[in-house]
Amino acid sequence: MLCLITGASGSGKSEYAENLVCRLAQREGIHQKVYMATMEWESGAARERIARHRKQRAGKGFVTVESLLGLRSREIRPAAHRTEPAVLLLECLSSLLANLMFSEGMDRKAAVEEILFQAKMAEKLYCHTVIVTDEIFSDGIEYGEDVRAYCQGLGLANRALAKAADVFCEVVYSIPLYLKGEAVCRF
Amino acid sequence: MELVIGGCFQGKLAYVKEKLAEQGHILQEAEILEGGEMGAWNRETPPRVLNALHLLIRKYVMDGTPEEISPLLEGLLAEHPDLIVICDEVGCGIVPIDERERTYREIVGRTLCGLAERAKGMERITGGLPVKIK
Repeated sequence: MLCLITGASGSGKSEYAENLVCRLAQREGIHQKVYMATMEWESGAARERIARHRKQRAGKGFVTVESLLGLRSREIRPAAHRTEPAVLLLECLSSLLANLMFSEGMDRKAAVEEILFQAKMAEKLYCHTVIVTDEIFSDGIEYGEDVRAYCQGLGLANRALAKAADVFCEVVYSIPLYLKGEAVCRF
Repeated sequence: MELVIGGCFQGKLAYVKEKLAEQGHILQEAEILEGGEMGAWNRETPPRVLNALHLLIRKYVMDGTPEEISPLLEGLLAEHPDLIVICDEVGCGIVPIDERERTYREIVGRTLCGLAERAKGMERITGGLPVKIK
């Protein structure tokens, strides 16, 4: 199953996604939960955010894998666990896209294609894949060309993944609002 | 406590006024606490509505005292458990480079998560119309 979770900053979408992964794993007796972190941790702001996410995840049994380029850059299932079934939580699509476009120099189209390819690969490698993305589309600010291309890229990626996903859900201040697939999340 | 959220200029306060009117209560100006004008809060009439909570949060964040927000809200809600809280959604943009702008959005989000958990109901207003979230 592929689940796409979106929401504003501070909306509680990460926590919701973590809990969804835990519930899916528990329901199906899956022991491996892989947390794939794509965020660049160089800046102070990212460090704070990462520290908060780590604290929030602590005790939930995730294996954390840092991979700025998502499933592209390495075999993201730790070797020791590769034979066992696992659930993947990829956090987050917005930083993955930024890394593909701004560090790797991909254009928007290539980066979005890469993301869709990675999602397909994740579906083959994992029993379930939960991807966290961002709602960055309503601040009414006209950005320069690069940021605009990035926003458009995230919009395209969100739309394509939402279409392919079994579940698409916006977390509104910790309450899930399902645009698709509510029934499969009610357990 | 009830929560009413949404983008700016969507008719959130107008919606609340209509809803209260349907319940037979005509909302008076004196019953509205404006989040951006705390100095002008009328403490004699019991408030029904806290409007523009995001502006209250913004003021404290920009003043560098965000730790004062939570006790203030807790006190207010303890005194007026039936308050209707209205707040703009401000987190749906590119994460700002400016630290205080970032903190502002983060705290609005976290504050609303806390309030949403306790709220009797939460509605999001778009184009003047409500969508029930909780």
